[in-house]
Amino acid sequence: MLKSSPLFNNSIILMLMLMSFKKLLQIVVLPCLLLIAQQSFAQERTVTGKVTDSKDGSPIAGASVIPKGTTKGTSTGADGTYKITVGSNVTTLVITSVGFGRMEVDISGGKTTADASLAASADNLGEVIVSTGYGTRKVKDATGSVAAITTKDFNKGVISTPEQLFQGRTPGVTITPSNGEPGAAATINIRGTSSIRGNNDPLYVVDGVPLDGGGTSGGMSGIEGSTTPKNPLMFLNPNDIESVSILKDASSAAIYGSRGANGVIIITTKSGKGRAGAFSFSSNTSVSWAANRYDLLNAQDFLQAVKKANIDAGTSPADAAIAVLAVDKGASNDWQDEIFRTGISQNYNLSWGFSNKGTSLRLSGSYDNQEGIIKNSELQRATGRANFTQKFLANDRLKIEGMVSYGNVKNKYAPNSNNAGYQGSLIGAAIAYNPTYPIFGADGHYYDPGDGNRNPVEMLAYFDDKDNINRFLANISASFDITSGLIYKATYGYDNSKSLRKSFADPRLSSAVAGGTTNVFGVDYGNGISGNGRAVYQNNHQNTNLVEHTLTYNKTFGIHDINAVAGYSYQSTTGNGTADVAWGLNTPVVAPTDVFVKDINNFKNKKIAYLPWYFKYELQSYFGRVNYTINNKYLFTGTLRIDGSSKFGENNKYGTFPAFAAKWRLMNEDFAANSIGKIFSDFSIRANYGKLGSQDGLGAYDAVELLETYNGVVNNLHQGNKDLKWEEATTTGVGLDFALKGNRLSGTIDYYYTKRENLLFYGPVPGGFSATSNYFSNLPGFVKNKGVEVSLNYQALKKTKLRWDINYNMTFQHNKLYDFNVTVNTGGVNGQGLSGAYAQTFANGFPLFTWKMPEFLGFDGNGDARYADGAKDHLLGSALPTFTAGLTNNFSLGRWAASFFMNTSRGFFVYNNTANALFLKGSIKTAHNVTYAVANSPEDPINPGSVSSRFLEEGDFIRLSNASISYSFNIKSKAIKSLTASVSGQNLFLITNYTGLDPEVNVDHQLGGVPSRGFDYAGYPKARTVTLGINLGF
Amino acid sequence: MKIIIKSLLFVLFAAVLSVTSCTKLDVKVKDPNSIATPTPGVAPTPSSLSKVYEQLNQLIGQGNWYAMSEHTTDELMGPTRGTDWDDFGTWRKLHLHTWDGAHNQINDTWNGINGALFQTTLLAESATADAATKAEAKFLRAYFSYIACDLWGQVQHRPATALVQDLPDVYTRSQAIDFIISELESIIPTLSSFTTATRNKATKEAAQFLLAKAYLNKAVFKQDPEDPAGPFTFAAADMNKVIQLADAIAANAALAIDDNYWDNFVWDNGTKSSENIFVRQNSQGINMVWASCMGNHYNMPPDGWNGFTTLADFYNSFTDGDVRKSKDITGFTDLTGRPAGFLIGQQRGPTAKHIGNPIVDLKDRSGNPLIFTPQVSLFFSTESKGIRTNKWPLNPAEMNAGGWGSTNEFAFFRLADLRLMKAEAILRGGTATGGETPASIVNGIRAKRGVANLGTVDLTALLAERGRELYLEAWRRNDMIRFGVFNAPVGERPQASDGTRVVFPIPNIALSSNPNLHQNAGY
Repeated sequence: MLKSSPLFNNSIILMLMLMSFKKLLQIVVLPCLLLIAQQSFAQERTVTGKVTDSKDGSPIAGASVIPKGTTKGTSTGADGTYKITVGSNVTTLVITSVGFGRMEVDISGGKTTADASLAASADNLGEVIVSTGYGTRKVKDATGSVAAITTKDFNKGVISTPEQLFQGRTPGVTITPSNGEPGAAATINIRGTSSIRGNNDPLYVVDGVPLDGGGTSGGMSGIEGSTTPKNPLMFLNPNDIESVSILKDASSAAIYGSRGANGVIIITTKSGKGRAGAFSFSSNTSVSWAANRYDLLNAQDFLQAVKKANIDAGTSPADAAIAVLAVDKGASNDWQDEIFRTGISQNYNLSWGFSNKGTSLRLSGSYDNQEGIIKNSELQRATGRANFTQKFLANDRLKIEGMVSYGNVKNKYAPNSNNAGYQGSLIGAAIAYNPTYPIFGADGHYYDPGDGNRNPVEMLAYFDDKDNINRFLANISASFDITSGLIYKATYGYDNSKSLRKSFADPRLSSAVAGGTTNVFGVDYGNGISGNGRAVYQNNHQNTNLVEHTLTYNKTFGIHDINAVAGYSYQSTTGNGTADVAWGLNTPVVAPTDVFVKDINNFKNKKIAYLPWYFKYELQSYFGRVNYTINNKYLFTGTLRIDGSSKFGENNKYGTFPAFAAKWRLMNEDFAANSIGKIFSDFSIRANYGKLGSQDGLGAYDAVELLETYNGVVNNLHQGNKDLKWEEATTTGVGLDFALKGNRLSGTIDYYYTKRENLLFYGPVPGGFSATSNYFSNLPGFVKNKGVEVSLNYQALKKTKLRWDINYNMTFQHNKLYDFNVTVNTGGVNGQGLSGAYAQTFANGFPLFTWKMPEFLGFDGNGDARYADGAKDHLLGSALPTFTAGLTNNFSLGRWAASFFMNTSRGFFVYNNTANALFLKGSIKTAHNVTYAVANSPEDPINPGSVSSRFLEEGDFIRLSNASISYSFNIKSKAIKSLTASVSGQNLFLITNYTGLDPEVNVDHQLGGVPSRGFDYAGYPKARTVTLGINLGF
Repeated sequence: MKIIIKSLLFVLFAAVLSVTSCTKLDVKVKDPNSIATPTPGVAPTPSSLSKVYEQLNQLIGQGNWYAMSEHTTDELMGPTRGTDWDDFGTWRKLHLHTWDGAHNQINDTWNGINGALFQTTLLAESATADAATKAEAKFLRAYFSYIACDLWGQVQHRPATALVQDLPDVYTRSQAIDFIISELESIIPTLSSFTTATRNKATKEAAQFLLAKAYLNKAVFKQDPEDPAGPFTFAAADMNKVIQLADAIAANAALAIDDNYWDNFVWDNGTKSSENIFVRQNSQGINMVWASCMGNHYNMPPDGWNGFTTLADFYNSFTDGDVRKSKDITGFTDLTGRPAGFLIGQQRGPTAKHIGNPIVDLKDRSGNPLIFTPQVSLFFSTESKGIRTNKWPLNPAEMNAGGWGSTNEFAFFRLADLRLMKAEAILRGGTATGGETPASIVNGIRAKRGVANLGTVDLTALLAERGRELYLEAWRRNDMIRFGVFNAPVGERPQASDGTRVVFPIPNIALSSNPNLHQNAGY
């Protein structure tokens, strides 16, 4: 079937492409409710009609129908019909829908019916509505740098967290997943990273409610070292998301003042559409496997390599042959096979919604089960959501809107940590474990080699680690149209998250596998796991309340258009939790067949590892914004936000954050017609300036002295800093929006410059003379970020049936630290022989996350490492990319649609800690498995694996991230309105010189609370995934 | 529907009205009995005394203060073994005396000791604590001050009422030793006498011991900071103080030199030792697993780390028959295959590192026989190079579970040390008391260690005896400096180091955060 299309003949890659049929990708844009202009109600009439797709006559749901010259209209139902009441003076209706062209329909002469047939197009990006925070605007009217991504552009396949929907699709937004685990957290940087302490994460706003940053998923099992906490957004069902707006610059993010310094991501969920209720059902099944594996020695080659390494180290060949006999335990195992699996994932979504007579409602539910590609790792998610709107009173002056959502996520964890020491955790253990070791010993227990190495199969069997997270998010608002153009709105938001993580270690774990630690969360229990077992229960609870009052005013006076908002916001967050540790079973388990009952009550000894902890912090803000447009040519925005936070010192609780932006639409000038108008259909320039704040990384009580009392014992935990104040980022930017005549090529170009100062940092206490040697202070010095962002859209083919759209975005970015005279190192290097080692620093005159280490010059004649300048440290590049780009190709041919998306990052370095810790000649000498490359290297077996540029690699890569093909069936049935089938692939190929599994990795190797970047240490590998899906409308 | 919406409306406005006025954004804590912020404007609240004692735990471990006191000497070093123990050169730099102000362990120790000075000061200067509590806090502050004075020659202090942003003032080394002496002398009358039950507390005898150390080292600390390695001039008055304090402590009937040297170190040393004057106990959050594991091979129970070794010359300073060199211990050696003391030659141990299994000759990880050799290279060593030590034998019954439950106590102060200090004070010009001579004191101890009497005892012989008696007890650096041999070449450090190495550099971070500190000479 595919062969019938010439487009698909050329490339096998295209066969794997993602699918997504246009019709199903129709984005329904809500009417632009903010821009309410009072109409004359003297003479009114009702106009009805139907909006259809010019291609196949199918109805277009959610198309916007607005009387020309006004901003208030309606939208079509699921059957494409609309009904609108208009004044007698209205002669034209403007009909738009995302993914389609704009159309003006004549209703002069008192017409009461008007149908419209819209042609699909990609040239109406300017009509896309972007949420700007406390309001919306069309992208073309935005004065600042904003981006909107809608369903059509979302990535396809297995999507466990919302940011995966738009990864790579927008210039200036870098998303780096920490690893390949289902639901793994990602590092999201908008316009680079500029805070040296904060997490640099943007602010998320879901349906108007700003989420508090932290989730409640624990970052530790209490048993197997630290892991990166899971993504706090995983409770959202990606299928419920209608659109994502990204506020990149200070002028647009300033409405969120204090928390906008890292950018703002506004998520809008779907609402009910269609006069008659409509159902939609979709289901996906995916198959995932490790995209890449380590090329490890098999049992036979392993023994040869051990022998050779012994001889290289000076053992006589005869003795080496005897020595190898002690190492050879006779089995032949591929330990990667033992820990990896093919993961099968399933996803089901059902929704129902309608919109009629001032009432709209949408209900949806979903269930996901994602198996990780490492055994025992899994994510299960169930979500439910209701969105509703009800209008009251004459002219719908009172509107109640609400959203309620509930998500339950259950994770299962494999025993893998970020910072394993000499034994490695699951992946490290599986890499290094002797392939001749059997899985089971003769006694029926898991084989314990007694040499400190960990049996990976035993680890999977005897560690059990799960959590269960419930998150409830609700938001209700009432808005009242007080008088012409003045609307009051009150909003109440509620966000409640509870989690329980239960971790168990079986007492039958041999002492090597269980590790040596008796220390749980900093408390030494004086007993190990082996023989005692252990249970750790972590309870977390977090609750946020939000109250907001806003006044919105919209008015047009002749050529002047004003849109203003002013408001007050109060948000408080409380959290509490406990962690209990237990050991010593009531009914001991000894024999392999004994049953270990996984319940904390089954243990004899129980202790609280942490004091029951509690925090509360508050944020109080006053804000206002004015958008002023003259003659649709000159657009101005001014914003001011004053924020107060309880986290700061008593002397500096408040910060003031102003912003200004302007846009000049040259095309609307008289001179344009005879000059640029000959080439362009749109040509606008923008300029903006603004100041934003950040309190990232600050805890509730970091600015005050804190005492803890437990069993009557007082502990002075830390000292406060009364002068602690807001970190500030000042951004200046200019931009250009253009479209060539005919609209086949359009694009935007932005330049930005950000200066970040008063850097919040957990830095040294004077002289180290305090309860803690570090405390929070504002560091001298500043970070400058500069960048250029380009986004281009091109319609390569625009035939009636065959269309090909290309979207390309790219970003150049640079950052540097100035006036910085403090020594701050980070990036701990972990593994055998690497205690105390680090590889990253913050240095004046260099980018953030600069690598610092001796320069490796190769091996000398003995196979010992040579280093430049007596192994002095050198500053060698940064972990931050200087260039990123994404390329999307969308094709449609009749009922077929295909798309593929590639992205690249360049100019950054990755530290291959996996190689540093495990892939050394000395490892094979001591009977730890290595890759073939290492076994054949000229390295001396007693050459130490010191930190050096030997393990620092360029990370440049090109990836085919997403490809899909879909087909929309021609349904004649009354019961079924639409049916689409699709196949999509993720992470289909990767081009890179990096020798590890994947350079797009960020295993957390923070040191003393200072974040790190660009470490690869036996992290959860990325999957390659193929997904089959259907979408059904009825 | 209408009813639902009306009730929703009600809920909404109730919620909105509940927060109508602006908040003051005061910090809110839940329960003053668990976590609290003190009243603004009031001095910081001190931690409880038991928490302040926990500051001692930082001293007990293979790194930081312990490593700075041992790796820098002729007793211990950390060779790099292929992929193992490179550790950023941290051990190597200590042994080679090539550390600088960026050295991680010097920095971490500085922070730990100064944190302890902060916590002890809050309690020592507390407005509410009773006199006995404050005396104990002052003893702890004096001990941490002594350590800071010994390591860096500069001691920070700041009143308890000051803010954390206020820069601490700095005592010079000379001012610091005067401060330590006057503090100790002021609290000794308040402190209660040593009993076995109070061996983990600040007692009169513990304070007298520290005071004796202060007087014995006073000449070192009073030395010109530009030339800190001496030679030193010891005042007879100071030496007489040492002798007087040594006699005062020895008068306590609860203290005596043990007939069995290893009673001071084994897992039940809490009940067996009659020498340990001031200790930290396993139940107080420490363990001594590290002391075995830092040297034990991976294939020795409990899961050794195969790291540090002693130096061949130091090992050779012992004669055969000296119980301190090697002694089989019933209930230990038969189960673990190793003696107390030094481990050399073919190593034996239970199969699969499991106590209770038959004892066999052990192999290294490549399958070769595990033979500990005297020759060892600091830079390039294989697994089995170097003589290991077993100074604090762990309870074999706890080894299969990692050894964490072994209850060895770590003694900061021990009677044998004090007796040798008296001998030294006499040699340095003090007046002998009780008819004792340096030789009678030394030989009195040697008799109990299973070795022959020494004919004459001079300072050189005394230092060697201190090494044999007190090895790995973290006094070696302090001793070698006082005896003027700290910078002399040893084993893998063939060149003498500069005299300025007798004090460590102020860490770079501390130097940049407190301008009252000045870098020591030579750095």
